[in-house]
Amino acid sequence: MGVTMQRTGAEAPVEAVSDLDDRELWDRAASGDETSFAELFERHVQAVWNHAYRLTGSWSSAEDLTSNTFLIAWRKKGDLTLVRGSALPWLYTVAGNLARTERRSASRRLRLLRRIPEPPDVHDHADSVAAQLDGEERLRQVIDAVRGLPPAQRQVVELCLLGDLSIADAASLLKVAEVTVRAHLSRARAQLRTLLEAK
Amino acid sequence: MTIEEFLPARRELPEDVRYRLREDVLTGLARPKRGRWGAAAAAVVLLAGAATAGAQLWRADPAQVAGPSPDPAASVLDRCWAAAETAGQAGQLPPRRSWTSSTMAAQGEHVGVTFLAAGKPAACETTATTVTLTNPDTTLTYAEGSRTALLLHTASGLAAGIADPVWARIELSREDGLGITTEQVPQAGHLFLSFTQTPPSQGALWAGRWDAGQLERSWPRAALPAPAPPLFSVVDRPGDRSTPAGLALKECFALASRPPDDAASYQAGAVLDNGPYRVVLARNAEHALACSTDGATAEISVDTFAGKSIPARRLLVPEIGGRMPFAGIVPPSATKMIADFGLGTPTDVPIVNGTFAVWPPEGSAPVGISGTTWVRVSTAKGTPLFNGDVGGK
Repeated sequence: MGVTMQRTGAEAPVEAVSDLDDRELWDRAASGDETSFAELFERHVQAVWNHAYRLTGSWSSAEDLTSNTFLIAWRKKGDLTLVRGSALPWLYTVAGNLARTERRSASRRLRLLRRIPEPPDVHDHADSVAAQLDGEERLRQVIDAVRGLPPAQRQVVELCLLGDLSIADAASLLKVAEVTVRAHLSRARAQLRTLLEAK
Repeated sequence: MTIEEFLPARRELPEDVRYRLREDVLTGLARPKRGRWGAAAAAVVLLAGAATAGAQLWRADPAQVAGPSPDPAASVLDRCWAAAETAGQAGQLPPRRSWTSSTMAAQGEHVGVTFLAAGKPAACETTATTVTLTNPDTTLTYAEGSRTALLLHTASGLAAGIADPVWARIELSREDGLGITTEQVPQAGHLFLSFTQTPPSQGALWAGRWDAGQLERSWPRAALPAPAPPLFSVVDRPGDRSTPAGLALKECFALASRPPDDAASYQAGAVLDNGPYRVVLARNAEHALACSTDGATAEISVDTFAGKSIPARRLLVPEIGGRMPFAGIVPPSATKMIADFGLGTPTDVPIVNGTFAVWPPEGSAPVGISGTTWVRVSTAKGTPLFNGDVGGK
């Protein structure tokens, strides 16, 4: 038959990923090229999805947040800020803004939290359900603590701690000095540590 | 203690989640554009709703939906009118010549059209086998604080309605604010149409105003009252029973003690024979079934999906004649499938009309009820549609 049974892995797109960099793809997307936007989606969706989970504490909410992030990105495609040639940091900010919009009302926030105990829709590779629930509880504590930070600190935490951006990249994205990001991060870490140790 | 200790490890994105996300985004982009995603994601798009609203069946050529008319919406409205005549409801409707289409959206053979019938707003939904039409004379019930109302909200998640005249776009979402779709509101008629992926069973849709250039939600949302029941919903294109598979399905249904109420809406798929024993797969707009017969009696398994894989899904079909069928559904655009039954080489699995079925070959690892089987599904052009495990709990 000549067919080898190899899994393509989660990063494999439906078709071959273009060699174009984010800038070229985004330029094409900005002119309405859906194909280029599809390339960007395939390239960054996994990272955005993981980031969305860290922002919401719920895999089901993360799915909604991820798809809406890309939809907003499509609509705001003329406003993109690339950082070191990557669109991912900007996508993180879009996700963060969306997550805050969703949390605007306290009642909605409570409803979101009630969604967390729902069984995850994804295959779970955690060692046990108990361990997973424990992890979700800990993440929920972090999310609650991050929400209590001043806006500037919260944004830096979302990018650098939840999103794994470097300080330099976050500074570039936020158009502030690296020392400013570093200072916000330092203060935020201290405050988060206090908040989490108090729980 | 560091904050990082509280953060979960990053996960690999499962293929079914990637698929759902891709479809959500594609659905939200301007339609009916079909770019690269048109070749793959669009081909499997309807199955995204399989987990919640049942699968949609596509036939080979979606262009057939439009028919020969240069105006696809007019062709759909022709079909809706014809169904009204067949259902004896045409007398309650303004004449067809007074119908002017406003908005049309399609996902394969799942099509929605909003239109004005003698100036009154209405909507029609068509699938491979059915037509659902709203009553133009229905009194609309508006959402609080606006002139926005639903005309139609079906189990597939399709929502149609009329938006407040000052709204440039409409946001539709669940009560919790998630599951968002936004649609442009045509200034002529203000009728909107959206594949929301939220069926009525998941609660009411909420609507919100978006202005031109608006990038974030800024207007309050309000619950949309449920629309009045449609004027009718009928099977206007019964599944073909003249083919060998169609005949096998017809015979199997005849032997069943409780054939499905909507038997005519099912299109036959893959067929397995083993002496006097036979298994026939079939699908309609919302369901997938397997009809198993020993030649004297028949048993029907409807939507007995195993596991959560999407878009390829295994159906649990009872063992028959001492053999356990390996069967299920795949995207309608799928033409090739291989499966790993532990033989060292892959096994070809026949695909017919979005269904697959095969007897695992001699020497195969047992295909248990809760086991998983690796498969790869692709289109005729070789575009992969699914690569992973099906089945499981």
